[in-house]
Amino acid sequence: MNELEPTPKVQLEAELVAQILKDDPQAFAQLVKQFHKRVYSITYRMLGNVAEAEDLCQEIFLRIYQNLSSYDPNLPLAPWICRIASNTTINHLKRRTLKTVPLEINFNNEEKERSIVDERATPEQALIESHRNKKLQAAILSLPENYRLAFTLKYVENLTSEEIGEIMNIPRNTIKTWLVRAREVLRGKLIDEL
Amino acid sequence: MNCDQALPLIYDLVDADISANDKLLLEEHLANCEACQETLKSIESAEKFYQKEVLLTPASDLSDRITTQVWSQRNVVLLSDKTSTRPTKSIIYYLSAIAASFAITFYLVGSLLVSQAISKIDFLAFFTDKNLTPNFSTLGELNETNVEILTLLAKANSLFSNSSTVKALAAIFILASLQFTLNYLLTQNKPKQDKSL
Repeated sequence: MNELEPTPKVQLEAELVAQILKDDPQAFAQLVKQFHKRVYSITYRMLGNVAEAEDLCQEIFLRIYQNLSSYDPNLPLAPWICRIASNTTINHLKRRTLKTVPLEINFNNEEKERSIVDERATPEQALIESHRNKKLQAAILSLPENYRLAFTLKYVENLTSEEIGEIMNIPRNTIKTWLVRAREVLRGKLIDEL
Repeated sequence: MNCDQALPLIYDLVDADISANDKLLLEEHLANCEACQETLKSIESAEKFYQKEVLLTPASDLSDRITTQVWSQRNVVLLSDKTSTRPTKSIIYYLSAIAASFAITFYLVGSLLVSQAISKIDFLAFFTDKNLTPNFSTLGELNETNVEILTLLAKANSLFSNSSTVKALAAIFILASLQFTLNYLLTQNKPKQDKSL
């Protein structure tokens, strides 16, 4: 991932970070707008609860802001943000082990609808999409946390096993094994939806 | 190659992360295995599903809510970022722990040695033997130094056995040590609360 010459995209991201470090609220708003969908997808897929996922997004962006001075402007921003999101989410999961937050998705919970329905779809399509996505979420939540995170990072950020390994501090071949196992479990559970 | 060996390679193929050699081997297997051809189709279908569905569209106002909340609290230090929320260990903690350790060790070793001395078994040799081989010789074979040590330990043991004050002090030290240890362990596992968000 290390590159001698930062790409134009990385340069733009570095400029955005520099602006935020100068206390520019517009630049920070732009950063949130650019990454909140991916951060939210990681937190929701890992936790399965909209309110909890949204709260955790706030914590993650606060951590991102507070650690911006340690960001290397020669590297892409997305993996760095994914690492903070992943670590914060894993720590949150450890912290909540003593709490009574339900792990299983509630199929009747209307609150979750807004997070997983494509707003452009027709009502019929939206219903089907919503059902498929709920089944996917339930299947994802049945995975062990490490498989869940590797799987989520792969499809949220379109990362390779190598990049996921760097984010999670796990060897590439282990990530590959986890991804095969995770996808085999999901394929078994979602066979009717595919 | 059998079907079990082919499965991870099918995923490598779908991920476009497969060596030329493995690809050749897999293609040879797929050409002769209908079950794996079906598996490949199923995995490709699942792949499209994940690529479309895993990334979510959050509530439309989430971005604004995060920006407003975080910007207003950007200088707040998260409690869980602080180095430790464990209570500072006072000097009493260390003194209690040391005293309790001494009391337990002294009492146990003293009792053991004296009881061994009574039965005329040189248990001390067990500790002094470099090869750590028990040497159950009689007390009569002990040198003067060993006898002096045993006498001293016997006096100490007698003090423990007879003095209720010493017993009470030892009990207090042990209980205090246990209390500090339990308090430390419970604090370590207690979930930290982030009041800043």
